[in-house]
Amino acid sequence: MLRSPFKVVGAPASNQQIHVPSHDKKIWAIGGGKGGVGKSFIISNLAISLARSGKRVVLIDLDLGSANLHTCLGCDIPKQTLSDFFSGRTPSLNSLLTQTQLSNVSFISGANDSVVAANIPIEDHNNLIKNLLALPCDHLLIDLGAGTHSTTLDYFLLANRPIIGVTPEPTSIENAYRFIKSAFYRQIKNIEAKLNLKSIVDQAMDHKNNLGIKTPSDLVYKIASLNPSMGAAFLAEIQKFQLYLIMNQVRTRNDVDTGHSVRSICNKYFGINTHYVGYLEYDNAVWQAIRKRKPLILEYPYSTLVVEFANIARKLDGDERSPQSNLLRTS
Amino acid sequence: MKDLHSQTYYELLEVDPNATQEEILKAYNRARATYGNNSPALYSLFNKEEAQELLKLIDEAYSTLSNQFKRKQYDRRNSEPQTEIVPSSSISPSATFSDDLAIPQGHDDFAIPQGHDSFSVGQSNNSGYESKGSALSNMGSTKFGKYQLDTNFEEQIKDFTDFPGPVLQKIRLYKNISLDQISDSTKISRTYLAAIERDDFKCLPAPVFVRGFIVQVAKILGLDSTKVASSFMKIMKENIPSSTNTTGA
Repeated sequence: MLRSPFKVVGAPASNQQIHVPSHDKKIWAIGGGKGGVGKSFIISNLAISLARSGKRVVLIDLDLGSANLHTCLGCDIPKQTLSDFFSGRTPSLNSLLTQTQLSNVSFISGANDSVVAANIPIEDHNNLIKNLLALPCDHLLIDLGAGTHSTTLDYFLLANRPIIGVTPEPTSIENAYRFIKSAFYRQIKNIEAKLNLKSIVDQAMDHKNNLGIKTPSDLVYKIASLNPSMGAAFLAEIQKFQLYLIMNQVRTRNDVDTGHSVRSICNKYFGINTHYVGYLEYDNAVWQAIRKRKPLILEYPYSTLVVEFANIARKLDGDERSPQSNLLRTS
Repeated sequence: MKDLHSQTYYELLEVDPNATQEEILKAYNRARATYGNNSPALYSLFNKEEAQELLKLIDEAYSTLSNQFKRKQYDRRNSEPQTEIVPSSSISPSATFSDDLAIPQGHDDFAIPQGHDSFSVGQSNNSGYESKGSALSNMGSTKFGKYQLDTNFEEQIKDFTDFPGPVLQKIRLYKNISLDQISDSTKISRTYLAAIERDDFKCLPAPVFVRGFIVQVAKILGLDSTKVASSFMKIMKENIPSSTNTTGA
């Protein structure tokens, strides 16, 4: 079923930005850089937790090329996937929706889509987003692939709940930081375009060594200080960016604390207001459920993870906080 | 990290300005764990020097906020308009740390050496445990690392006859030893160690236990444990009225 239905463009749209119309959807997206940390597992079970509290949820698998959200949700590979939408064979996303065991959870699969998002023209992405926002649901949950491609980052950034999935292993933490840093610079670039601040960003970047810019937050301060009037607008924009951290496969108290440490470092190093919304304990029920191709929450309802997922979903759903980022500080 | 230097002590420790001592201690321990050598969360992001710089700031913040008097002074200074809130590395001699402050590798394996019950300042010993002359003639060392020798302060320590908590804290900070290191080494709760340094006697257990704590802390600090324990217990007795004795202050 491998097809190449896309209008492949010569170069990835790294300098082009996806357009997001104004909307009132709750969009959650999970990224994290490294593969295998449980992103699909986490987002699928968060969807089920939301659904159990009465929310209408649509999941979309944008881990194109490695999509397996359907497996985590206990469904067969759908007959129609995103390929059909991008190719124009199916103009409406509604017909791509696959129902899960829960009546208020459906998903759009990227299974068997052999190309990566990088090869999809920006117009198709914009069309996809426009259609996603029109879907009849309260929550739109996006599963992203590993890596830091600009398109992956753009989908991550369009979420109002950008979630970082990480495990306590150094490889995962390293990749998570790389992902966060990439997303942060992508966000700076987005704001730069919005506010026409390019010259300031470039100036700060060009003088990286001379100006003593060591960290992303140093860069932000430098941009703000070079042009106070525009810098204030820049800070106001960048402070809107918040991250939500979930530590997966926790085995010890130290693993739990590592999540607090990562949060603290994200605040201090990146200057990003980061919320540690919870951790998920290592549980043999996870691999057992995956081998059965069943959703963990439905297959093992008495697992402690069920409660942990519910708590995390509640925090994410109810978190309307917009605490002041330390980026606001201009001194 | 300019912005970090411009953060208040409360921001550095990520606590509310109205935080209790317990909350400050908890935040401090968490910050030490985050930026210590063994922290997995540091991996790939901060180099050793940057992490140590942060540790210095964090220790500086804690040394002020954990001391009621210093904290009030700091709060008063910060409440004044136009006052820039910048942690100063020279806020007190005791708040200056060397780069060796970070928690050493395998610190959990440290144990108090046996047979060194009566270390005193200036007393030579062959354990490599107390300050001593070396190639770096102005550096002293403890089992946790090196510290900058201050001959005046060394003389002061010799002259001390009273050892209330703040004095013990001052000596500890002078020797670049963190509460975490003492706690890891002695297995005494950080809460109790902090309470000792605050002279917060109500937070401490029965005197018989406190005496044991003080003996161990004094050994770590290279002080005469008998003298320090006697002094501290006397101060404690004077400041905490027992149910059967109401003669305390």
